[in-house]
Amino acid sequence: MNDDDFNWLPQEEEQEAAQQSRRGLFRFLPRFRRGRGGAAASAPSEESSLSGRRGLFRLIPRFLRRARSAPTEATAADLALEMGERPVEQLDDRLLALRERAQSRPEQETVSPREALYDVDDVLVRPEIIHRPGGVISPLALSKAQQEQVELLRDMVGGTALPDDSQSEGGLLSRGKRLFSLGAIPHLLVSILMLLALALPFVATGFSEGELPPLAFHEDRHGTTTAFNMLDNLTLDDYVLLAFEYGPTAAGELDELADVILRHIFAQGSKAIIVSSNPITIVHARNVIAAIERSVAPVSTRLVENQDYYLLRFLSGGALGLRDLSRNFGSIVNTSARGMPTGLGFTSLDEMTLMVLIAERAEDVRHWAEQVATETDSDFIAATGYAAQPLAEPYVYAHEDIVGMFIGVRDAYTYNQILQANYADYELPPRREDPGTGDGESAPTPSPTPTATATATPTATPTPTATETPQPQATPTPTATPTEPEPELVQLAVAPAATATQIPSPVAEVIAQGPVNIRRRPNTASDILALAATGDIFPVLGENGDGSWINILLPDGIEAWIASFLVEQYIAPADGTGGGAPDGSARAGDGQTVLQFDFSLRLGKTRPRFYQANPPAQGDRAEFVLLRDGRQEEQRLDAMTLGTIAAVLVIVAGNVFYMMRALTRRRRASQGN
Amino acid sequence: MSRTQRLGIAFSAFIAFAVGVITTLSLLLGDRPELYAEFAGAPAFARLMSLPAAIMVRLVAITSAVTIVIGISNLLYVHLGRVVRGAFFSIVMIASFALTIWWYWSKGGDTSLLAAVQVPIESALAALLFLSMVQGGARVLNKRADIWGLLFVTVLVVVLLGTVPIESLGPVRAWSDWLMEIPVSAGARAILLGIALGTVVTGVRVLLGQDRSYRG
Amino acid sequence: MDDSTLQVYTILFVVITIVLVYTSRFFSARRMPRLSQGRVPGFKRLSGWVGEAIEAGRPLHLSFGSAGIDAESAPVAAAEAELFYHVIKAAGSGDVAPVISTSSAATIPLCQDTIRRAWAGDERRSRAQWFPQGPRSMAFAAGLTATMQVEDPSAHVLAGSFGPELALILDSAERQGQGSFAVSDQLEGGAIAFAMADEVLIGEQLFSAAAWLSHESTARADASVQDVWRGLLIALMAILVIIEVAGQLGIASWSLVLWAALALVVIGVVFVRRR
Repeated sequence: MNDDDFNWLPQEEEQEAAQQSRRGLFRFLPRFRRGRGGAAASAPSEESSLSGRRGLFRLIPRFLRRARSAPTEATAADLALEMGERPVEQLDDRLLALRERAQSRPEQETVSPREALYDVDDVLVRPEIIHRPGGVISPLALSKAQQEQVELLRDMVGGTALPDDSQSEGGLLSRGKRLFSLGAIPHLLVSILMLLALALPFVATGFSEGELPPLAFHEDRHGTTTAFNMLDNLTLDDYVLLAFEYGPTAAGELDELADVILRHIFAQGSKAIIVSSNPITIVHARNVIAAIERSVAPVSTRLVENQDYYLLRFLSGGALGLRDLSRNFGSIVNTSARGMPTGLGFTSLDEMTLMVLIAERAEDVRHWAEQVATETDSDFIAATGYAAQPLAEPYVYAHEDIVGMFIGVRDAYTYNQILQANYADYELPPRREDPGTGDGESAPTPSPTPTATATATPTATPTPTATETPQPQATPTPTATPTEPEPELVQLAVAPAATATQIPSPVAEVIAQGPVNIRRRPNTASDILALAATGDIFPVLGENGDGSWINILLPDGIEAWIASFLVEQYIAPADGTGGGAPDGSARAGDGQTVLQFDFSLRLGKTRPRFYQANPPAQGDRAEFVLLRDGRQEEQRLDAMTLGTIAAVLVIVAGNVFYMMRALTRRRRASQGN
Repeated sequence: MSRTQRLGIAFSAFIAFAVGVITTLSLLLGDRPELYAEFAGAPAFARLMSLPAAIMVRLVAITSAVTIVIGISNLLYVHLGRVVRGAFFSIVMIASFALTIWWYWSKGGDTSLLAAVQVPIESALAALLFLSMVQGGARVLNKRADIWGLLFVTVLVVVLLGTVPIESLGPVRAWSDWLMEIPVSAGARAILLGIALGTVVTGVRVLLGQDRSYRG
Repeated sequence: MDDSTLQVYTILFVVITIVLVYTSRFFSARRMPRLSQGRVPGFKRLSGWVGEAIEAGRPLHLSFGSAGIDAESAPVAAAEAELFYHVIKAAGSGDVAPVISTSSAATIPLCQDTIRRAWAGDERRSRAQWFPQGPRSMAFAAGLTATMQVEDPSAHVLAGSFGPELALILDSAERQGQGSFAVSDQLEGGAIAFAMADEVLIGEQLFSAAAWLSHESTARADASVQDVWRGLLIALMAILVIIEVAGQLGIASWSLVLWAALALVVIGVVFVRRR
């Protein structure tokens, strides 16, 4: 398109633009020589002559120039004089182009008025009305208002009614005139096809297409194994900051993930601190928790707000609000969503054991990654839907603090399968007489008929390794029989499952003069958990962002941190000495090793993180895991598969049609020429 | 424009400029004692430097929460105007608004309306969005019958097929992964870089008081 | 790169940008950088829609999406306000005021301000419309499509921050035969715009759109700063890639880097001249 086709030139900027577009050698002449005398020179206001001409004045911000100048109004006559009297080479670019084009056109023969008004005549007799979606710039397209005017004109000249739209070319979409038009048929067909594809798995059997998600996270591209294990390592006193960044729109997809993660947290006895940058998602989080509560109500006590979970006030200001959270966590954590004090005495995000973000948009993942994850040492897990996955991935890979990502209903399914398997041997507490009162949580009475509704018991373990680890006994009920599959099931969560006797494991030996502090978190302000003496050796689980702190495993299975300059790290020989300790942890001292760990095969990460799944322990509230209904998960997954296939078919068919049409048109056009 | 107006504009532009520069500097230089390592009172100085940014960020967060009031008043203003003209859906809007507020107050903060009304409606909208996207995907070559349109559709189909969990589609999944990891991710980063550059340049423009809002 | 190095680079980046802005304005006072609308065919259609709106007595619909002046999308909102200013100016001789919609409450004053500056006629207050926003602005899209049935705009100019919800708006526009011009700072929105809008801008064109419509030299100068930065970034990345590849092949040397830089400069100059 040439500039002259379209004039956007607002009047107020005309003078400035005209001045600045002088062409050729005139540009180098001083201003006073170039002007055409009095009128042209006096026309521009003082402001524009200052701004347009002299370089130094450009450095003064425009508002100051405005403020100091007393603009003289340019009259229309002045402008007309300037435009009319300018030499050709001073014309505006576009005018010049227009002029050149006009000159290059061949002389047109004169036409008679009858010929010139041929179209008008036609309109009065039989208006040709063409409605083309999006084709409003076509010269023959008439708008509603124009149509009305044509009708008015017809009335005045005594014509008949407008011809039926369907008779004119492309007149299929006449708004407001027809209830139904042919143009809507493809729309309708596509909608019906998609709805059928989505509904079939729910109403009929035998339409199960595709494979179900695996029963364990084994492809570790997104660090899912590590993420699961971190959640599984939560204990009674741990607090998890759960960012709820999805609303009712994504409830269908992300409620499942939120549900399993929350159940897992509650089952471990940890506390969830829920926060969001959108008010409606806080309310939605409350509803998700209420649904969990209802499902466990027959055997469990109610979850108490400000005791089992905390709903914080919403964070206004988008990314700025998140920045505020990372800087002023202490004050934000004090106020609940209802404006009441929470009683939480945290001062820094570093005190959170873990942070989990459930977000429906990649933007939210980015905001949390940039504004929160980088500002704290706590580990961070993201969970998103399929739509956000591709765009969220780069942030997850780029930030060292984000350890893993769960995606959509498929990961929720796998997550639930692992949980169900882990807790399969639990028996539920007995049904309570009066749900809502009392504390029937840990009544150890044996229950002969557990109402567990584990939807699918894994029949095969995808990781064909077996450990010789003694069975950790962890069932809370006296009548429960110790069973075999526990270690295997625990290992489901660990991708390249490795046993202590097979893989050399990294250890850290204290070389500084003891005693040295072992702390709960990687900073000197956190609690001292233990003191280590020179020569003590601990299994290494990982390290913090800059490598200044080493994450170690204490003999009692607790994770702790030690400053890296106090220790020397090396790989312990893989001689199998020691092996795993009976309690599932490793034992420090001579010949210790880590029981199992995974090398997170995450893109661009060379430093492995080590985490191990934690067998369920006494005091776990298994009912949160076991009393989860299936929610037609498999049908949903089938519907997703069928829906995707149908979408691909529709997209391919539609585009093949349009491509053929475009090719045909092109061929016709070339033949016409 | 009167002299007073011009002064007002100059003043507001100056305020914007000053606040912008101070906040930017404070964000960049504050809370980083390592930047002033040679100086004895470095930590205290770093804390002091971070103070303006902290105040401004909090101020923006609070102000932004208050803007919801502007939003609601605008919503009511626009729809009440339409109610007068007899627009049916505006009447529904106003009635739902009143009902929700009444429900919340009278039921002691009950939020079940969200689960009972909002979630189904928004889920339906999400489903509608899916249909719209499929329809739009089917018409890409109608709008852009060129090589880029074709490329777009090809990538779309490959990536969609890559998500279908059927074993025989294994190779497609591998292409899809490759596409997502290399070309798509490169393109996405390039676009984001471009947007970031534009953000900085526009930000500087606003910072220098050159935005139209400051020019009267 | 540790944090303090990053800070230093950030400060340098901002300072260089300021210097570039002023330098380009200095030169633009002498010679306006040429930005041809021909590179963006969208504006031609847009002019048709503006004309149609004036002729038919229908409004234009402009939308910021969720770009808010209280959030990090503030520069997006500022840049689009400038674009809308020029579009409304062009439609200024029409009878019906344009509608500006947003899902960020903080942007309402900006909407009203833009209309006030650019539109001379009456009926200004109710033309800025807010629709509440969820995380995915679905209510915004739904409310918008319903309202647009009432307003019956001739075209939609959707420039700002949009996510997948853009599909609903564009589908509705398509079915009603209304033109659509879309650009979003979110990648999802950008992809949807590419697939479904009549005309589309991509990425940083979002910020230079106003410069194409404006004849103010400063706007064009700012847009050219963006081009300069982009060129520098591309050159830098290309050199880094060359160094990396050369390092892996074992032929890395300073002279190679210098030659590569020289070649890039030549290619860049040829490219710019040809444009």
